[in-house]
Amino acid sequence: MDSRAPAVVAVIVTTGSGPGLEAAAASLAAQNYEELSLLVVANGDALQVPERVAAVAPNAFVRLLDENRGFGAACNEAALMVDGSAFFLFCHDDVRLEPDAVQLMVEAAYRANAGVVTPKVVAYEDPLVLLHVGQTSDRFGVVRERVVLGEIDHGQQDLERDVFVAPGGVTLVRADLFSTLRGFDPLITLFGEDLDLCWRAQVAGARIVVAPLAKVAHRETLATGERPVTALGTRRASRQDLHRRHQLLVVASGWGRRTTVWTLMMLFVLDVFEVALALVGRDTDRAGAIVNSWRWLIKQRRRVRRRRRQIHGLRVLSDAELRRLQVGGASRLKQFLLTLLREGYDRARGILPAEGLAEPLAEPLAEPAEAGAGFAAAFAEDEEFDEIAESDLLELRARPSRLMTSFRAQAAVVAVVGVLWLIGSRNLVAMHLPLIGRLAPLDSWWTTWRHFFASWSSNGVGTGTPGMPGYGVLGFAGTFVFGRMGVLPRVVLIFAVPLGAYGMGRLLKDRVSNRARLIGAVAYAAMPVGFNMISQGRVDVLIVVASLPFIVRRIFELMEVPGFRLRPYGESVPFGHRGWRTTHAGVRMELIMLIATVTALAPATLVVVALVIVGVALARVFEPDPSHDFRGPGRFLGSLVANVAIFLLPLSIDVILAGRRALEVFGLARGPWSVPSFTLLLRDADGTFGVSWWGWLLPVAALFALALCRGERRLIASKALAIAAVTLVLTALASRHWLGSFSPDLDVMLTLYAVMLALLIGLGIGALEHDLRDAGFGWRQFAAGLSVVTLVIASLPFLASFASGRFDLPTTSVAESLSALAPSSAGGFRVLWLGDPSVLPLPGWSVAPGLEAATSMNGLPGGATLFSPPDSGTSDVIMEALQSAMAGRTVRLGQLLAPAGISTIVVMNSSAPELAGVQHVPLHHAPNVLLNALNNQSDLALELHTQSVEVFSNSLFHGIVAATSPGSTKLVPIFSSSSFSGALTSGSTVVAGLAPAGAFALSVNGRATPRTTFNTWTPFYQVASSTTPPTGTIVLHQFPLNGLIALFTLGMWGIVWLGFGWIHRLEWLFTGRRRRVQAPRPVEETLDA
Amino acid sequence: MRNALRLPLFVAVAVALGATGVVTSFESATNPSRLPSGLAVSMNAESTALYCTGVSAHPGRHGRVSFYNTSTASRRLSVSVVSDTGHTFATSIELAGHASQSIEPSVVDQGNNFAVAVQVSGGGVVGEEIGGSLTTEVPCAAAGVTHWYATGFNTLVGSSAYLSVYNPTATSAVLNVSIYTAAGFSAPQSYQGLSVPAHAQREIDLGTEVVNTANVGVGVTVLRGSIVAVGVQSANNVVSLDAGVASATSETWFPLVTTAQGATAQIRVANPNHQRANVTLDVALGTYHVVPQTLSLAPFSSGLINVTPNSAIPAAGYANLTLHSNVPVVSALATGTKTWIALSSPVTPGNAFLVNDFTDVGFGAATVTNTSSRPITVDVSSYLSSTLQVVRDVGAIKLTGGQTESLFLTIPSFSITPSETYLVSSATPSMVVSLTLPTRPPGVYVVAPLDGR
Repeated sequence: MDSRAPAVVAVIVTTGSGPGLEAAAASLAAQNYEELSLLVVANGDALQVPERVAAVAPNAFVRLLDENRGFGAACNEAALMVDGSAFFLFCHDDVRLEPDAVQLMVEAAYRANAGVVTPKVVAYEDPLVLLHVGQTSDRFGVVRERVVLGEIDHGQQDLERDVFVAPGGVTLVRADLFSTLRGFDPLITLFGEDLDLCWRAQVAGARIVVAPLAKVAHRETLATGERPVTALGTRRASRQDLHRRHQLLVVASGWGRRTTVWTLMMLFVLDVFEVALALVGRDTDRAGAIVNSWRWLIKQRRRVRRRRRQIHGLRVLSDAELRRLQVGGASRLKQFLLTLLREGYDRARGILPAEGLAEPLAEPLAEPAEAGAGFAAAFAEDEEFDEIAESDLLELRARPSRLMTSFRAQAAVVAVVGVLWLIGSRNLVAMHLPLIGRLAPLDSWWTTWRHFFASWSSNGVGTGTPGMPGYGVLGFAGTFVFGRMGVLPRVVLIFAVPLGAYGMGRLLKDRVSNRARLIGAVAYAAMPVGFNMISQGRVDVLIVVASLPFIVRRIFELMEVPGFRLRPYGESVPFGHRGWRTTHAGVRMELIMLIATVTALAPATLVVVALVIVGVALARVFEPDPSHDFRGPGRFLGSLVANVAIFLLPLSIDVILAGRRALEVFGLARGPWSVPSFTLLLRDADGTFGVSWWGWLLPVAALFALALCRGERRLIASKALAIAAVTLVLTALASRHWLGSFSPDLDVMLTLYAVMLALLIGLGIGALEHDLRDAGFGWRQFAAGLSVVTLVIASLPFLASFASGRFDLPTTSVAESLSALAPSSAGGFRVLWLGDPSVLPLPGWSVAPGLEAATSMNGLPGGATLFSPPDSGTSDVIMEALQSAMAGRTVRLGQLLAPAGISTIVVMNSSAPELAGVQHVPLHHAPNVLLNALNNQSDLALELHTQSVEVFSNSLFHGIVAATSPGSTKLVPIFSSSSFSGALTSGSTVVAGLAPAGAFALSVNGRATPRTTFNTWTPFYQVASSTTPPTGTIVLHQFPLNGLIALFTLGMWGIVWLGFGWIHRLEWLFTGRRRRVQAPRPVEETLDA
Repeated sequence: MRNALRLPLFVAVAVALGATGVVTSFESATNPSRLPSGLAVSMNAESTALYCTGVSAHPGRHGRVSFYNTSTASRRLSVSVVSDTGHTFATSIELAGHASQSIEPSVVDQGNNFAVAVQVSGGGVVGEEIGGSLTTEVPCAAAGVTHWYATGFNTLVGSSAYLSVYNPTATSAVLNVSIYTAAGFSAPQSYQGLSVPAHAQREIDLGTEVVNTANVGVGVTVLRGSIVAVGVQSANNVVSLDAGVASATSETWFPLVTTAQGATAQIRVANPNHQRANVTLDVALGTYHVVPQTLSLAPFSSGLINVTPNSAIPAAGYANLTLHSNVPVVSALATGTKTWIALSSPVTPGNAFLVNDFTDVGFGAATVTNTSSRPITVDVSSYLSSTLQVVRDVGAIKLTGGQTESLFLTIPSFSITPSETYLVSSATPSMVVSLTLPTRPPGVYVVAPLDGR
């Protein structure tokens, strides 16, 4: 009976000694496939081939060739000899086929309509060890295995599937396809002919499949060097040479024109990098092979063009379609970086295939990573990352080189960073805190609360505006440290940045992996703004640093930024009942309270919140989110601001009263000559940290990260980008005073910028893990590499900043060096502090860009002047006097300031003195016009002049409270500096530098004296003539409206806090019994909860 | 997200950041030394001050200080006179609108030399210090300076030169004095760290350290506080006051330099720099073409260019001189005869000058010069001292770049002995008013005009 099986001609090409020829022929002769013919081609100097073949396969044909022209040429010769065959089975002479191999391969070819079929190839000596199950390739022709070295065959690869390359050894090729492809390229004598044939077959639209049930053992005598390379044209060429040049030939001719140019350019760059690396490692063979391959290609340019034309004639698949069949990225570079990361430079250098793919056993350690997983595999966490070989992933996952993927590794990193931070802040624990920034010593817990309720504060020349709510926050915080208020600034200095880093981790939670969260958090901690704020003693900004990530996260949730609300809000629950906190209203209220708390300490937080909302809305204009129900960012912002204003009622009243100074609540204008340049703003640097080129690293890493993000991460990244851009633009414009008096605190703005940078970095790491695998090799790969490199390098200055143990916080301050400011005469006095807002140790009011004015009573700033109301009120007299002096309209500034009891004017150019080798403090010069004006005053005496400070004394100082003797106009100080009471002179006139004048009365011997102001701001009291020595006391007579406002505010905070379920919990207080049995909740509610 | 949607956000952000970066970097912010208003003392000032020093009590050269109220409102002047002997005198003057009043320190106080400090309740009052038997006058200063330069002093036999320094502030001033002569630089030990107590006056006699030397340049650096200084040059009993300058300049104008027979005129220059100064003096004299005169000065040295007599410069009235230098230099005009010289420092270009005949001897010449290369229009107004009427325009002069015009010729009411006070003003600070007293030979006494405020 005639067989219906298609005819297959097995072609064994043997050369030289052909140590496995008999076994190969015998195994083919033993095939159970009926229509199989055997043709043995003896290539050149083969010895006694007919006899050897005849002994095991008497029916085989033998063809003797005169010279060894290579495997491909021999196969072509054999194909010419055969007619009518459906398939060719091209075999090396060192293989051994299972008896059913041919049959299974033919079946697979028909089943999959494949043009080329490759079997499962196992080790010759140990058939349980897998060698090949098909191969893959990248765009540069670098072939990668789908199995790892020494992988045991458990049947795990027994799935028939498409592969890109059918490795040489045993290859079943459809005869018509072989004819169409014009056979093997005779130019490729050895190494690479399989890649070339398969590449062209793919271009021609043929499928290449692996038939894993067909099992073949391969001895690989040529690849392992067991046999010498003797083909024509291979003299003086090593295996590596042949491999490189043939690989280059395939790439140069296998792509379309544009892809070829781009691919060759990238390959050239990679090869240059590899040559440099090889030369460093004295690997001259590799360097020579690479260089020679390019020379060879140039020499063969005509052949390349011809090949290109031929392939173009065959083309069925486009370049893009072909790319999809290949593995992404640059396999060799990936492998190098991966190994560098895992096993160090030497190993990585060795990984670069010294002997190429043809000699996998020469570099056994290289094999495991040759999985085609790519560079991104090192960052992959999901199981589906490697679509090539699951076993590779398993192998990779098991390796310790998967950086920071395990909980243990992440915990270790957190522990290390934590320990480093504690080491870096070791001196902050006990060192004396200098009087810079907002490190003025706090008053006692009780006094701090009193400032909140006070009807009068000593700011400026005195003000009766409501107490700043910041005092309330401080008093509340002081409760938790049992009234030890001195602990609070230290806690902020040490823990604000770590808390902010934790917040950054929370911000990234559920959006990226734990590793990405960790890196994002560390990046946030490494941002210069945190260090600079510590070194400048800006505890107010540090509180923003700590809390802003939490605020941003909640705003993103409420604005339904993709990925930030994974669960729906809880079902509507009445205010005060349990569960209200998880409702939309509860979440919003939480956000409002958080913003209000931080705003009380740093009002510019409200600007930052607005920027976040505007940034999200802006980003949505350009890149709309797929679906969200959020509407009306303006209304959202308005409601936030309105609610925060209610929670901070005293401050809101102050702002309303401030009039033209209202916007100054967000910050005072700094001198344009001392603000950071735009490039420094880009680096997030306002201080000593981040100003060097290192400062560029984190923004650059964020930029790369931005480029890598896709999908949901991309949507979040675009919002971060928009927010960062809006922040930078606003900051730059405000720092130049192009926004009028609106000059929000620059450092608070930079904090938002830092949050966005860290968010981008975290998202970028997430993109490395997830998004990069979708992209082919290109700029993303470079961006990924650079991003990782910059992150690593950026960590170095982060470590260097720990050296001082106090993050360069000065050990002494300018203000403290002026502790002997008290005037020689008795009585209370004020010190007028002038300088750039960034250097003064207390808040005040703006006189001009770069000039803030603030006063302290009886010496240095303290807890009573931690906050300054935006309403300058009567204190405008000081600002107007200064402006007059600067405009040249007065030479009697001392006389103008004397009624306020100002004895000393301190002009600061830096917050701390420069001490060579001990502390470096940037200079922020006060306006020169001010110094010129002060120097021209006829009643001011320059007492001290250093680079950091100039101190003028007021020659007309007469104390805060002064009196004239009867018949004289000369004012002399009365009372002591600690109290406003004491002996008076009968018939004298008392003048007090206390505003508002109407709030004070002079009680003489228990009776109020008449008061007048003589059209000035100071009250004058006429002491009646009497025979008894009068004793007077200046008392404050004011309705405690401020106290009521503070009480109302405090009550409101309490009520809202109770609304978070506490009313429900404390119900028993009012009903008189604790509810023992809780009413069963509806099923739906329970489920929702 | 499709790539097509990415581009606009990237582009928008890149454009926004790029534009912001460029715009903010375009204008480099500087720390201003003066507010944009410019004027040292404005008319609406709450209080102003005038400081005049170097007033002498010596017989034949005793001086006086005159004040003029340019405003229509009356001003109260708190006058304080301090002498080199430490005596002080204080008084107050009520100066009506457009009124003037003088005070002779030697009459009210004891001492050899005096300084007068006047605090004015408001602005608009100017003061002139007149000395040397009414042959020299300089404006009073409104504020102290931290650097002061003058040059051209002679300490030759028969001459004396000293600096009168007044400390207008409550801070003790500390200063260093440097000397530049043709032989080079010196910083005498006794001139270093000089202290002037608050509101005190002090003389620094140049002759004690720089003996028998001509053309001495002086540089004063105030280490602490600020000062008002005037150089007093006496030669053969002819006294001249030199107001000096606060900074060296690369271009200076001397519009009224006599070339008359019998007169002497020199441009004296000091180089306070580390570099050699190459000075060129352009001479404009009627229709004559005069070759520019040059001078090369070693660092920290002084030199001079003879203008009269000079064989290259004909005796043909007043020459208009412009001095150029590659580095900032200090210059002064020394005029006189063969036996004596009087010094006058150049006038800094401004936009308002006041012309008042404080000496009551009138003017020999009065010119206005456009120091810029662009045409300007100069308005001339006069204050009517008899009434409190506001300024009355009396004429306008259009000047091309570098042009000098005589006030006598262009302003009909401007006489040789003007009874009114004239305000000469322009829109831009590129104008110099020059005055000389009527003398024979003409132009040997040069008078500095008042700052018009």
